[in-house]
Amino acid sequence: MEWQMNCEDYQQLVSKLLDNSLEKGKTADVFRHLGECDECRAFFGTSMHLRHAMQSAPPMQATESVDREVLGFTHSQPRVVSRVAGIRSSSTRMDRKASSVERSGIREQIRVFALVLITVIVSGLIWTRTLPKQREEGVDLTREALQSEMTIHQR
Amino acid sequence: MLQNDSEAFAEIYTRFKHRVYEYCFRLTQDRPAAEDATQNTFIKIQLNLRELRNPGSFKAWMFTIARNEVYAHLRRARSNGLEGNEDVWESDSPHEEFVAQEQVELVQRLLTQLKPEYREVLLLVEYEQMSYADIAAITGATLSSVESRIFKARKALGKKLKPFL
Repeated sequence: MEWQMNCEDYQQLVSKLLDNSLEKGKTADVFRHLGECDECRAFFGTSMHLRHAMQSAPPMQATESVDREVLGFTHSQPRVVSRVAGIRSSSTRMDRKASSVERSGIREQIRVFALVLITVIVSGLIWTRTLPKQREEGVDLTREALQSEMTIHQR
Repeated sequence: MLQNDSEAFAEIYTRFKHRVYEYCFRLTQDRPAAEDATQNTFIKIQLNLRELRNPGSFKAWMFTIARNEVYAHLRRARSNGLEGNEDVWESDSPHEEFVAQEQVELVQRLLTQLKPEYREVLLLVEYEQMSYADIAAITGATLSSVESRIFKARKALGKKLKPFL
């Protein structure tokens, strides 16, 4: 007997969908259910409102006293041991306002790259297949040219 | 590769200090405690940077340290029962208290009333856009526990937010 999901189950999937963490193959089913169920659609709507409200809150800033303590400690150290170069390069890739589109951006880039690679390989295969024919045609043209020259000389 | 680079650390500190502070403040709701936690976090980062094997996981590591500092403060301030109690709310205030004109203000007030273990996962997923796996690593919870807490927090907040939409 197939297990039937209830609205609580679907709403848990909606929550994962909002965070781009839904398992593959379940998205269509979730959207189908959202089209049919007012309660789950309402949960989706309020979760989006909640996200918007949270992300619209003004950012909070630490006071200068924190700077004095931390940077004062830093300068007091004779040798600050760090792997800062690696952290800096990885931290530049971090973006506070990364959207779910950006989160899936890397996956999308990999898909595009794979598509381009396949296209190049296929084009290359087609080109190499036509090469012998072109060579033969080229040889034939050369032979024709030689023959016509010989004919001219014979004349 | 280890480098003697206090200026570069200062740059990283400048980049992340407000985010760490905001996270600490939203968890503690206490400005001095949040400042202490932020200071201790970055001092510990400096002292323990050798333990970081993968620079790509710096953000998760940083928030793990910040979380530990916050929870140390919370333990000192009060005893806090965690697992076993399914209730999402830490305190129970009448709905009528929330005369917030803006949804943003209302949501911020509601967030303060969530239990820390629910609040922290929501902060990390909404403000820091962290993956469930990273949140699980930071909080020491299982993946399913993180999923469950985020869902329950959204459900509870949505229920209170709904009349104002």
